[in-house]
Amino acid sequence: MLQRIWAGMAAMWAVMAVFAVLALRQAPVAPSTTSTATHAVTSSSTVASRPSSTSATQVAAVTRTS
Amino acid sequence: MRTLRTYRFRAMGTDCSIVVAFPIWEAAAARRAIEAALSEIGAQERALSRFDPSSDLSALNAAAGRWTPVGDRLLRALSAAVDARTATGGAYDPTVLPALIAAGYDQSFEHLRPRNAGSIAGWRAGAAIELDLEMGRARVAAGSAVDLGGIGKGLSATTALAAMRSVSPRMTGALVDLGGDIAAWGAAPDLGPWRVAVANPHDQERPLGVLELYDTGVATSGRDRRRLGADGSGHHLIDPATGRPAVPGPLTVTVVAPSALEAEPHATALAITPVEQAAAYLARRPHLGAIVVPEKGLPFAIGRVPMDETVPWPEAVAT
Repeated sequence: MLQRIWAGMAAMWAVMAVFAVLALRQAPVAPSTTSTATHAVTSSSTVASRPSSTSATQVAAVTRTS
Repeated sequence: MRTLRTYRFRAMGTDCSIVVAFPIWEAAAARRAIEAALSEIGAQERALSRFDPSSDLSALNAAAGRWTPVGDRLLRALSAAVDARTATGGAYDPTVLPALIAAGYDQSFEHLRPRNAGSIAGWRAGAAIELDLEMGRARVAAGSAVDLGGIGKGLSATTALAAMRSVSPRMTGALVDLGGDIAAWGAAPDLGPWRVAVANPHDQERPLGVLELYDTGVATSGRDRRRLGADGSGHHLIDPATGRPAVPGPLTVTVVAPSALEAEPHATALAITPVEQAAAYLARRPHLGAIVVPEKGLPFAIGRVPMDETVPWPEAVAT
């Protein structure tokens, strides 16, 4: 009985892992969604916990004179 | 577990990016959010660009002195620009366009050719902008013209963020950056604040510091880029009091405000305000904060500036 429970849980985790991989591999946004979008690049990264370092390079954007 | 997606592109004549934080299983929602933002930014640019002869703004300027039918986006932008002129005491003025063109900024910056400044004889700041919201039309005073280049970015960053939230309520945070005019909402994937570096005009390799933002807008204005004139000595920051590129003022200024729409005109106003008057300007507007970088001397922060204090910056002096 215990083995069946463990097997069931393992199968559930395997299914969740497959869904997670599929989610991460979604196709990037098509640049054709707007005529103003050119030279587009997409990137993804996964963050599970807050980085311990507070380096100035770990930023989402830079504000500057445009 | 949350993840991050960044989308970089060119729009409004500048480098832009959209960043979305979302649960790992909500990738499709994140994609919809980015598409909504791109659609909104494109629509705003088509309505507000003075370089697009088919835009609502171009039609309005071409018909100066007459009522002109315009769309909701231009009406809202004009309303915001008029409010900003009042809020900045006239230091920001959307009707400086004739003076801006005389200074040499007569086409998109990528296509600009250096030339000597032209005449501004007869030009006056503070031209009337009338709005008829019920009829969906607007009128600018005869002989005047409107430029929404700066505030248009702040407005578009703000409305793009709203569009993202509308289509993807389950994303946990987002950031829209239109050439340094930044609208941030929610939290970064680590549930901490969005971290935004402030460029140092004196040292491109080392930012001045890092802002920590949740639901906030940021804008930077300055004379370190977009040089004008035959010898490159001019710049695009017109002082409404003189109609010429402003003489006093810092090299750059970054304003933190409740929204990017509000931050942008105050950044423009502070960029033409003498450095020694910046503290008084912000004392009258205690909901704002600013980082001021003088041409010479140390940068300093005034008012509400949420900095990451563990990141050292060049001897900032909080006042």
